[in-house]
Amino acid sequence: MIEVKRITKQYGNTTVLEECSLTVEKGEIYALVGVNGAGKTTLQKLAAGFLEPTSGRVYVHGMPAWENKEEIQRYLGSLIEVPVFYEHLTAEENLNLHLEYMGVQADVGKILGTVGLEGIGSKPVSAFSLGMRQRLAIARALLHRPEILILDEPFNGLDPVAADEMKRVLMKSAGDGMTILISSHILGDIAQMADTVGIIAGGKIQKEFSMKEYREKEAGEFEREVLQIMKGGTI
Amino acid sequence: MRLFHLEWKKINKRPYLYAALGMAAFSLFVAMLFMLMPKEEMELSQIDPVWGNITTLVSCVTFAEFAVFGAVLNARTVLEDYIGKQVLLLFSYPIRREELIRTKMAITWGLTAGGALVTNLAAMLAAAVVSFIFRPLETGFGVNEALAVLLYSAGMAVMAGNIALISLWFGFWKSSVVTEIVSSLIIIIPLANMLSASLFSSGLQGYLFLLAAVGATLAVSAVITMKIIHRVKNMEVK
Repeated sequence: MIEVKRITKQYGNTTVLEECSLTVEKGEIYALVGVNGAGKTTLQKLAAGFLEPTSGRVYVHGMPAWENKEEIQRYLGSLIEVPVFYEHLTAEENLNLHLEYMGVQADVGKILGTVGLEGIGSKPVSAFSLGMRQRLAIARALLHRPEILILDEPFNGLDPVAADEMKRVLMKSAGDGMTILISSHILGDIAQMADTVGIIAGGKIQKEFSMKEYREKEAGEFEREVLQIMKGGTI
Repeated sequence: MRLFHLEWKKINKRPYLYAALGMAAFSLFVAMLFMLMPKEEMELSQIDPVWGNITTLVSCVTFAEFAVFGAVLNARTVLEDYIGKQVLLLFSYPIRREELIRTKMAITWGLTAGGALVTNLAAMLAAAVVSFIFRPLETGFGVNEALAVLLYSAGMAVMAGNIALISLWFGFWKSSVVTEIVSSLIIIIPLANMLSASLFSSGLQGYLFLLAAVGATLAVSAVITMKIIHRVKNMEVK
């Protein structure tokens, strides 16, 4: 569903990604892990059609992402960087507007309930806390039932209970066939939910872990190995 | 039409409505001031108390007000969407970017020009009604005067919309709302002065100058619109 083929992204003389490649299969949760500035958000923006690659290609749903940047949005739900809304509108109004732009219909009340925001849909978004905005952004990303979800640190600002609820929602969505490309700093969360973890460092995917193997190993081994690689060492 | 409807829904209209009403009140004030000013004061100001001059003055004031209004409207409803994080949302819709920016600019142009047109016509209509009642001017408000009001109102309304678009380009160029609004003031102040000075000449010369000004701003804003659309089409979200 997402194929990143030898992507390089440069801003002037700065190379953020260099010959980076990865593949996310249908129904897979692929987690990107890396230090701040490693290129996780850049990679996600390339996948979402928000950035043009300097070289290489990203294919989303079989289409080159940048050349089809509007078309791929039909298949994508995304939360990249900060959640943004129309502040003077209520949560329900924001979601209904989103549905109208996407040209689909969905039950706004149901999705608000799914992310734990039932009963506050009529509040203006300007009154929402960071955690509430994060949940509303996830709701909006899921609302039109996309085939692919791109989430940039979606658990930021969420309390442990809310984060756990969101993990369950995402894992259920993947179980229903949704493809998810997620980035997070919280290794514990990643270990629980991801099928594959890619460590991004030096502009490249340095190592990929299949989480099936690690769930059978000693607790904490995954985190230890990831930290070692992120610090520039080898396993 | 669906896109117009959606973009229209997103705009928080109340502040702009209040601003437009305030500007309409000011245009009306200017019309009344010069119509009801004592003759001695009018002689000091060197503006003859005739309908042509009042129409010119009120129209230039309305033009300047609404050109700034349009620049602010463009800054808040168009530019901020593209230079801030809101662009992440805009670009997540399966809608051609050119269509979206064209719709946004058409709405702001329409609101600016429409507001200027209605305000100017209303101010001059009020002045006409007052002149029927109090007869402060030597000549009455007849068909020729009404035609002049219509032409000046239309011309100034179109120019206000165009100037707002031109200043939007500066905002995009420097990715700055402040630049857009300041550039609108830099364009409007000398232009409004030039217009008011030139349009005080009588009859055909005044109309020709107005036509030339409208044509020039239309041409520039058409080019600017294409440049903005091209920029947005290839915009990256960094």
